[in-house]
Amino acid sequence: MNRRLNLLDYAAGSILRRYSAHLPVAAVFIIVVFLAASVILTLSSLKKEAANILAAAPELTVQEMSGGRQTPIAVDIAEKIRSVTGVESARPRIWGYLYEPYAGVNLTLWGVDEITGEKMFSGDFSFREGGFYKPGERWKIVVGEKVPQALNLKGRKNLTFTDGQGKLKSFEIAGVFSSVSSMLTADLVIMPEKDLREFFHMDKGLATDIAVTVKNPAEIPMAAVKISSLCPSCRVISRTWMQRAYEAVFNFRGGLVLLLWMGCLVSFLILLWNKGAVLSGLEKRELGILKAAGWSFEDILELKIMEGAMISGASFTGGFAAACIHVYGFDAVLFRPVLFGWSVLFPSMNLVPVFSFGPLFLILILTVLPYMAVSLLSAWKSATMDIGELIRGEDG
Amino acid sequence: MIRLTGVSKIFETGNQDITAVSEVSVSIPRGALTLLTGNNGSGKTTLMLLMAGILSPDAGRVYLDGMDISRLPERIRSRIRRNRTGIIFQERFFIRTAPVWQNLVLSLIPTERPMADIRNKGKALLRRFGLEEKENVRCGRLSGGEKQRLAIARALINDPDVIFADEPTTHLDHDVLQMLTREIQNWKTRGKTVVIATHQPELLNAAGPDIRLTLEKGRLAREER
Amino acid sequence: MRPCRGLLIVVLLFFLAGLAGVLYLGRTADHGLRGLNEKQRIAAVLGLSDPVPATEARYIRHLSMADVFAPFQDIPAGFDIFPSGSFYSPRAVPLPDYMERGGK
Ligand SMILES: Nc1ncnc2c1ncn2[C@@H]1O[C@H](COP(=O)(O)OP(=O)(O)OP(=O)(O)O)[C@@H](O)[C@H]1O
Ligand SMILES: [Mg+2]
Repeated sequence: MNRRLNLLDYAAGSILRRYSAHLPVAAVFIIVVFLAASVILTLSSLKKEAANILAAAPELTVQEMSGGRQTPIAVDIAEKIRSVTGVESARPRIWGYLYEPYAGVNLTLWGVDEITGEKMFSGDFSFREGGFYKPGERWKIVVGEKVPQALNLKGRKNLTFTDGQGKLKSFEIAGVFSSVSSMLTADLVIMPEKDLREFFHMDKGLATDIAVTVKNPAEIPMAAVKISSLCPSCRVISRTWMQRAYEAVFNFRGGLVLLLWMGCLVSFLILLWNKGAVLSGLEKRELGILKAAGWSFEDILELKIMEGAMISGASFTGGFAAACIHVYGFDAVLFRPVLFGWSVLFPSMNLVPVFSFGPLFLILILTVLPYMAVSLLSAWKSATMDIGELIRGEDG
Repeated sequence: MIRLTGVSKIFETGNQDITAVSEVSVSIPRGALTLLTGNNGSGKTTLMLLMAGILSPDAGRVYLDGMDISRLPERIRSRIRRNRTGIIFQERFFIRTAPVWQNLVLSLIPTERPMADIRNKGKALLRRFGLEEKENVRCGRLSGGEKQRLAIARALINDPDVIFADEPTTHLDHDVLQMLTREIQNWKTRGKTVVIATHQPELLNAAGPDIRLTLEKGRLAREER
Repeated sequence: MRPCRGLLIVVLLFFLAGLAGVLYLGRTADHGLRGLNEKQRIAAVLGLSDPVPATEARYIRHLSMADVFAPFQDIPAGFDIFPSGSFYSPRAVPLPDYMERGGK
């Protein structure tokens, strides 16, 4: 036991003594772990995020198609859908996009009917400023966290949007959602359905689409088929579809980054190999001195394993900790352009840590293992070398 | 007791082989002080490393207390180096970036002794050789004489019963030389077997050598007892 | 104690790194879990179906709106081809005048 401790102490001292020799490798090691862990942590958290939101989303979304593109849907269809077995509710939704050319930002405008408005008003949701407008109030909006900033409002409460006929409509901001819900609400502009209809110039009998809830998961496919036959021009999108699509998008993006990461990994391995395969004269001398002092093959091997474990362990923890801080503390800011594409408005993600041990274990194996292997190899080589040879090594 | 029978060592270098030690047979009894002299390149260092089991002979046998150390596996030889022999190398062989104390106690590190113990032992030795103030200095910063004293101290850290000293007198001033002489006499009285290679045997006459060996081109030319 | 100073420093670095990570995790986990719950409630009340990782690309903002394939792009300069379109803003290419109503 004491022997282990002494060796450990010696190993630590020897790392610190020659930190400049270890630094480049450790730095690359940290970067490699940091990159891969950042991507993996971000992706697993995002998948969780999407799954969480989708869990509350309507099971089916019904869209009207015309000429192969989506068009407004007749509200009457909702009535027909409600009669389908298994369907719990069918709610016409009014929503759409608004491109705000001055700010160059896309906003999602979302209409809220009176009942929903009341629920939002009385519900306990967190807002950064204000709150939900009172039921019945008109031309009031509730916006996502990033909207005031994107529109450069500088604290102003009133704003105008240009409608489809070039007319200006003014709105008053009643509340701004807090960053807690940013991943869901960042670009939303919520307003009474009536106002949104007027703004979009949408007929009373039309809606953007119909959100359908089905209580029993087993009935979802059947309900989807029935709705399709009720309304042959409709497209029915199921929640599981969307979930899979999100996973595919995130996996694709992550794969892209990991592909680039492979390059990093390979150069790391080459660096390692270079370092491990050629013992420097100084190292040889040190090992010769240790052997002359009576260190056995096992002692030297153990020393090198300890050194390797300390460096690779510290680098791995360091890289991983940095990745955690990057992803959870700074919303993965370095990877946003690659993982999510370009965007004028990025939400605050406030990702929830999700550990998928498989991928993390893989990083561990791909980095720590080669490091240990190479340091063992060089230790083996040097430990079996003749002392005479080691001592007569370069620089006396 | 150290006994060599027909020991030869040949170094293969590029185009020609160098016979550094050639058919040396000698027997050194326990507790004897042996002086090894000879010109530069006569094979003193090589012979000494052979006796210490650091080099393996190409021919002949090296016995330490009846054990044929030239045929022992490396594992056992390293244990002998750690527990029984102390070597003062001609070139100092220190880890230059490591502090003095660490260089001193190297052979005690892979043992079950607690670190505090090891450090105390190191401190005591450093005091004995007037190096206590240099304990935490990096070895590379020591002067030639300080290095030499540290090298002597290092050879004693494991209380060896066989001590090999390769040119221990270089770089030493008069006072330290006297100290070394006393030290060697001390080893003798405590029954340690000592082998010293030197170009200045007269400096060590005071220590009272028992055996004088002279090497010439790797051969044992003279043996006085 | 001196002999273990080197060891202590290394071990300390280890733990500092780990601790920093764990602290961040703890801090964000609490915030995040509260958020998860809140987002789910908002989504349920409003009937929202898509998260907002980014806002400009349909295949990431409103998957529920995405066509199976899109033969024509929304903006003449928008690359609706994955992945190019997701990396480059159509603004990287000058828009025709009539579209630059906001003008800069
Ligand atoms: N590892 C080696 N490889 C090649 N030649 C060597 C090696 N070690 C020693 N020699 C050669 O063997 C011969 C004897 O060397 P050795 O060091 O034993 O001499 P020495 O008597 O100690 O000399 P000095 O008085 O200079 O210390 C020299 O010619 C030297 O060049
Ligand atoms: Mg010599």
